[in-house]
Amino acid sequence: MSTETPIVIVEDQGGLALALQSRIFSDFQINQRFRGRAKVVDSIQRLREWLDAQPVGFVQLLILDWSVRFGLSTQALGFDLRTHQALSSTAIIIGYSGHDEAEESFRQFGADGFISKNRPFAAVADDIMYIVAQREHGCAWTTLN
Amino acid sequence: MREKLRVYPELIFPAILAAVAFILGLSALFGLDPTGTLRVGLADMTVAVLSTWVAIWMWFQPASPMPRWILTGCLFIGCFIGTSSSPVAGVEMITLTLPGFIGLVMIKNTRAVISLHILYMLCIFLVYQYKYLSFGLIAYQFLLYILIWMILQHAVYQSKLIQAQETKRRLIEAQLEQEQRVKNFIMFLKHELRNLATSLSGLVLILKRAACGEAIGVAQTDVLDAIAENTAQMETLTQQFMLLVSKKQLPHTVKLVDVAAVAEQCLTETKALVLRHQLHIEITSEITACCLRVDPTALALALRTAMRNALDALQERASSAAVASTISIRGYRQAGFYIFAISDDGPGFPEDYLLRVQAAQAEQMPFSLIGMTNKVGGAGIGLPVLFQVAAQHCGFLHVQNRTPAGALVQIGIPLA
Repeated sequence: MSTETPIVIVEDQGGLALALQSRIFSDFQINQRFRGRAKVVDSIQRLREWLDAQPVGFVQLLILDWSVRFGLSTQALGFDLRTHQALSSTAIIIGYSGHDEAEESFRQFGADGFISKNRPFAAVADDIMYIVAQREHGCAWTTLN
Repeated sequence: MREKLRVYPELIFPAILAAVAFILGLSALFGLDPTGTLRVGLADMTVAVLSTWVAIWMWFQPASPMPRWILTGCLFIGCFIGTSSSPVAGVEMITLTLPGFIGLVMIKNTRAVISLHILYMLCIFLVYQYKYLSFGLIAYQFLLYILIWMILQHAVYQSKLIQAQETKRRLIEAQLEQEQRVKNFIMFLKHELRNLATSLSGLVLILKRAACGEAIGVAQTDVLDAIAENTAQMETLTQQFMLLVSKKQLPHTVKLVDVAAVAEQCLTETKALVLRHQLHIEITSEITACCLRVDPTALALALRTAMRNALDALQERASSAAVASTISIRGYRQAGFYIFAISDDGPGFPEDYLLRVQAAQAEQMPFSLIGMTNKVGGAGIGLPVLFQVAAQHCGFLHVQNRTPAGALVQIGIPLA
């Protein structure tokens, strides 16, 4: 397991995960803030396995699709994600989905923000950084529809 | 039981008759009734037994008119005898009215019962020589009949009204359910297409950056593979959708096809998926060579869909290395059909899901299956596609659970 990246993408659509991974990698602001190439997992089970193998407080940014392999991520994550030892205390969790119901589900789940897949993909890195900035300024929840 | 009592309230008549006759019989037999004799007691007990028998008959065969006629006939005879033999004065008011009244309520055939009652009155008239008949009594009976007839008509009208409302309610519920399923299906399509479009636009963006010499952080071959995969997914989705909206007739693309080659192609694709997702699934095949007149695209789509469904059923378990799962595809000739049997050792179909699939198949309504899914995030598109492909080729689709565990899907295509 790689221990070089503080960013995790949970996305079961292979092409989209790859595009997101590349977009995050090539964005200057994200690289400045987090550094490293994002890790991609396609299911909650694999996320758990990967998190369990990471050092304490390592993960800083988690981008989570709603409808992933074997179910809904917010339901499948039975444990309290924020209390997982691999997540940094300032880790930011962002929901990323095209489902209309996902936004409310992520809000109840305790995520920091939500980005709709309806938004232009070219702006996704800026969207992520906007939510990160909002969170750092004390805003508990940001939606970008 | 409660339901039966609600639907057949007439059961109360033989039941009450049996109970009353039994109590009277007991009273007579044990000397509790000073006027009762052994003969009367035995007669009462016989009536009680017969009434019980009629009640049981009505309970088990509620649609049968026979027990109702028997009871009514016995009442007529009993009352005919009772009219003259009862020592109680004025009992004829009851004995001349009761059988017709109960007959009307129980049999609900107004004409037949009234005819019988008129015959009964005629017998009373002839045998007892005016003794028990008077103008007042006849007028009273006439009015009573009119009243009963009106009540019965109203009850029948109410019953029909309730039945119509119930049918309408069920129809609306079924329509709403169907609309919801279609809505779910459209939502799924919308989501899938949006996902694929977003993915493609992102991947194209990566290639543009790569072309400008920028670092993209991923291998270009991975990007191209992802584009190819997305395109294939879009193609499958479009094919499934087109197939579902097409007519039942075979398309023009029917030709003689080596089905083993089509099955092998689908197997290869499924094995590639298993490898890519690092799943612990063993795929076995046993395909008998055969050439069939089929639409190769539709057949490939059906096999791919069936195998993908099996894969989805197993993926969660197969993601962990602890348990190895199996998917098996068999192709063989049987009773004039070439049958593709795709099975897995997963959890199988839920029983209620299977029942609904069988009902939809019996009604030849594959579209009522759309949106019906047994997995989270599923679109409920798989089975309708299989059903449609089988129907287009005048074949069949069988869906069932295996013993001890797993699912079995059989698609039969006629050999001729």
